[in-house]
Amino acid sequence: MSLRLPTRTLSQLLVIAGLVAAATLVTWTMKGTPDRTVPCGPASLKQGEVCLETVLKDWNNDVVWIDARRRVDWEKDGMKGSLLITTADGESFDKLLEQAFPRLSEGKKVVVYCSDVGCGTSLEIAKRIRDFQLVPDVRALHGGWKALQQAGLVDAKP
Amino acid sequence: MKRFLLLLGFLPLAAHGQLVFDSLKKEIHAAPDADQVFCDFEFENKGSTDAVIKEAKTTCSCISVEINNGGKLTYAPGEKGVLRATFKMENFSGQVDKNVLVSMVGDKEAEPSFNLVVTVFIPVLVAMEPKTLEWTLRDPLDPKTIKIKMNHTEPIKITRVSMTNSSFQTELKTITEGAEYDLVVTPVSKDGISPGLGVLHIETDCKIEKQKRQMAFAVVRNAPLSAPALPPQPPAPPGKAEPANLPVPP
Repeated sequence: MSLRLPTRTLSQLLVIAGLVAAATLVTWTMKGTPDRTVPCGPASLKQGEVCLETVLKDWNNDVVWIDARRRVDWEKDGMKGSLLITTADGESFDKLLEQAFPRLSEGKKVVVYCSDVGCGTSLEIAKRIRDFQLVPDVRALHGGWKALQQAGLVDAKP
Repeated sequence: MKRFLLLLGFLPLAAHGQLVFDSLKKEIHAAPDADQVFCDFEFENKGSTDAVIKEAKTTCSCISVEINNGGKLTYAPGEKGVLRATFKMENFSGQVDKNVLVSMVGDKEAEPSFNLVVTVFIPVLVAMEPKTLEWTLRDPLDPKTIKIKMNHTEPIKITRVSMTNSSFQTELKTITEGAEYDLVVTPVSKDGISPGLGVLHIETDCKIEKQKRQMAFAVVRNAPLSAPALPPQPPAPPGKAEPANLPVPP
């Protein structure tokens, strides 16, 4: 059975496509290239998370950054000055926490990131650090490493 | 025209059927000595077209996912399946939340259709409170206590307590052998120099290896965190403060 669209429907399709293309062009001209930053706001924040904008503007980036990804990823393209605390690949949380202890005891806020919005490891690591009551505020970064990359704070390396 | 626009609006929904899970969040209570636990998420295609699973991704190497029927990914209307998440306990204890992200064909890369959450409760056999002791140089450096309670059917004894910094004195008091202890820690400031930081290692005879060793911290700050800091102190003499080696930042 073949489907034949009437000429009227086809012309309507063409009109819609033309309108969409025109709207896209106008938007691009007025707003520039699309904003690819990870959206973050009260509605999308999970409990224990923080937006990158809050860290950079409200906290002046005066935080201790914790990378909760795999060691190889941290070594490859982790945030400059970040510390590794992860449970990935059988790493010992206690051992890494002990190594990070001098920095964590400075009393700064701590922000933990993993790979992206859905990774979840940062929330778990943040919770485990929080359980030690060592630092005043520990949060997981909404959007993770991807948010840092889109803000130009880290570079993806091959 | 209206019918055509309506069709366009519903096209994305129709593209991947309508997979429905029995629950998006599940809780598992693990035995303290378990090496791994399973969590089954049952699902059914309640739509009128095939539902095609693209992938099921986990957020941790500690969790793996299998779909029954040999990893079958396409489900006809009314067809049922089971997604099994296997959580390896490793050195976790307490409450652990893990996610399984299920993407359907047609989903955007960063927007999977389902975020399944497995919450695993692993008994904490050796409970310590608090896990960090804090002092400030503005206050007297009085002894402080970490309460240690064993939450197991068998007694768990503390076999060794060690401190990385000799400027902290430790004393273990047995309240009930194998059940309850007080670990008293006293910082000693000589010539007004801060004892700094110390890490406490507590070893027990717990038969479950991953809960055998515990850790706690001792910190003497120049000033409370919320208050302005005191002028810088002279550096601690060699052998006093023994901060752990920091990993090399990238």
